[in-house]
Amino acid sequence: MDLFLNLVASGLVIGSVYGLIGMSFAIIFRTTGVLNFAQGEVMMLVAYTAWTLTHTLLFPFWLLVPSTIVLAALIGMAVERLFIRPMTGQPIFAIVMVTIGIAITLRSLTTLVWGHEFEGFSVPFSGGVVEIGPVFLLTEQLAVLILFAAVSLMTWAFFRFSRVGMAMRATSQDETAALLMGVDSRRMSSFAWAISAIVSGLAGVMVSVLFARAPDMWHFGLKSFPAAILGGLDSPIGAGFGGLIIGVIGELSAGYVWNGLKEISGLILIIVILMVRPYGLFGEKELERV
Amino acid sequence: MKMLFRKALLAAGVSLLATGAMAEQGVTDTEVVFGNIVPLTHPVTASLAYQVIYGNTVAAAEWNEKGGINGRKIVIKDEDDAYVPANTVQALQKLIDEGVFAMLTTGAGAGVAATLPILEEQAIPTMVNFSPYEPAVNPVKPSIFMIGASYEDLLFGEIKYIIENKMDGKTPKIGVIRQDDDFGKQVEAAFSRSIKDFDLDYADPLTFKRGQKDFGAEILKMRAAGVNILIAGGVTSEIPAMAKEAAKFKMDLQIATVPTGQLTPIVKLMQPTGFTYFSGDYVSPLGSKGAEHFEAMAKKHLTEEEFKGLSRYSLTAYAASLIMFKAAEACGKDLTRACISEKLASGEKFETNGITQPISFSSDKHIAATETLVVEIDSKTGASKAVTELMDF
Repeated sequence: MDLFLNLVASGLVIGSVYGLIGMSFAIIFRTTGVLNFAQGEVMMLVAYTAWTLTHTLLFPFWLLVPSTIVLAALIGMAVERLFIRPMTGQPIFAIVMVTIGIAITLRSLTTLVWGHEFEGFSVPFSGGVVEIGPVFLLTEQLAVLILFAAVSLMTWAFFRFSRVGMAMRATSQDETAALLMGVDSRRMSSFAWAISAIVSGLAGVMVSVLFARAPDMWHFGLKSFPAAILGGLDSPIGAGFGGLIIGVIGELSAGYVWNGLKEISGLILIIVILMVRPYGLFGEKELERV
Repeated sequence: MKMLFRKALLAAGVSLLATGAMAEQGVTDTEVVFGNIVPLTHPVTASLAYQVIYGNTVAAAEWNEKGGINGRKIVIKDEDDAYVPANTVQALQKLIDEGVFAMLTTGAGAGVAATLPILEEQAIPTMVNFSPYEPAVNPVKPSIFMIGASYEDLLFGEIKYIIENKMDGKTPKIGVIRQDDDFGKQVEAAFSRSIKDFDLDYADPLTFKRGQKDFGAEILKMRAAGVNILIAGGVTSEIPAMAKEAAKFKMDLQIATVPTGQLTPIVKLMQPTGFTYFSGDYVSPLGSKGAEHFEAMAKKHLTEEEFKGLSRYSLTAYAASLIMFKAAEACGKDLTRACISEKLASGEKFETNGITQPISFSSDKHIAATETLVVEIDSKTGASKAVTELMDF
């Protein structure tokens, strides 16, 4: 039981990271229909910037959090304004290719500016151990779980109750109708990229705290993509839960069956789920009226 | 007149052919071109690649300052393989097409393995040093030489030291978490040999894909199995990631690592874990008397930023380059690939300016500097010290 509970806890921790990044995929997709393959790189860029704020410019933690959020939003909006908006009206495949280009550019830019070395990212709450019954968690792991819960709640509330959130949903459902109702779809796209960068950026900071600020951390973007598919690309909350499921399944299969399953069990699950629900666990089935 | 012209043309052709046959690729009257393949763009190992280049650069600059190899300037061409064996082969092919005479490095273990057939077929003098890969020299291949103990020997030395000095009466139980590639196989070889030689109890070996960061399940399995000696078979940040998980569960663990465990970024990341852990090496550590000459040369020939980036990988690359240059010089003006391989295998002792013991190869042994020492690293203070003399395992 001890092993089982700790494996689940470990899976929830890594799953929260996948979930946060999965959510950021879904936020952009839901609003604009674009699959951003540079999500992991945006996450990395925000994490590196936050690292500079705290380790080079010595920002205190209370200032680091809002500064990182603002910077992440600016990064997201800049990417959208510079690379995505000029592609408006182009085939979706071309836009996806642009995001792949952005990914490679951001990877190179990051190593150009910060170099290849990996570094620790210390925050005031890191380094402690919390024992909950037989379960052991590092304080930073607990922080990831809390962050995931908070971001999920805020994302749900944002799309459910806020005017901007509702406008974004309207844009995703019927852009022409939304335009007729006075919704500025370009602004909505910009907001989506900003929010998505904030969510993945916070995940990136936590990845740096948990492991290291390293030039290969963009891999988390690739690993989180299945979470978004599993949960439903048009459902940010679903994508978040998709991350948790993949994390837990990965740890349990590695712990009880075979270690090699850790990386692939989530993908096997996706194949099975998509055969039954092609739009993901929480995604909405698209109905076409004829 | 026509006949005379034909004869002159024929003579010119014959002389051209003769010169072509004699001249060795990559060697002119003024230059000798060496090649170097390192993973410059691989996110995890790129910094190590640069450290290798710094070592090569210092050796070449030092040698060129003294007039080069018998008056020929040393030129080094660097190629990137991004830690992908297929790229290592392409990079080698490119260097061959560009006229490289000999190789100072041919990538990490898997890259060396991939390039062996070409190196052997073309009899390119090669010094394997970045990542010791025993099959490169065992069985002996006429033009391929290697310095440095294998990962198996390095880790075995650490395990031996731990069992003899650190168990405090506890029954040792060993485990390994290793990468699922050629590097990882060498790591597991140390694990298997330790079990056999010391009759150890053990947990089943675990593998992970390159790039994995979270080791929750792996460490939990080690904990459940009661492991108290762990071979943390990661290359870089995987080592502290495993240690962090083990520290969370307050495991009473002795940790053995490959030489990257000594690199400053790893030591810094290990700091919160509080573990004292082990690494192995076959070169004098930076800051020691043995590395004094190298450091003085590095200060002279590298930028301040580059100097700060030096590591043990710079030392091994420097030593390997020196040996190659010395063998080339011993060939005199008639520098050929066959000659350099012959000189290297002659049994002559090559000094490495204090980095290692004098190095010599023979016709049936193309590996040297296999004696290793065990380094103990206190992650709390970052201090490391050699706890054994150089020993052969």
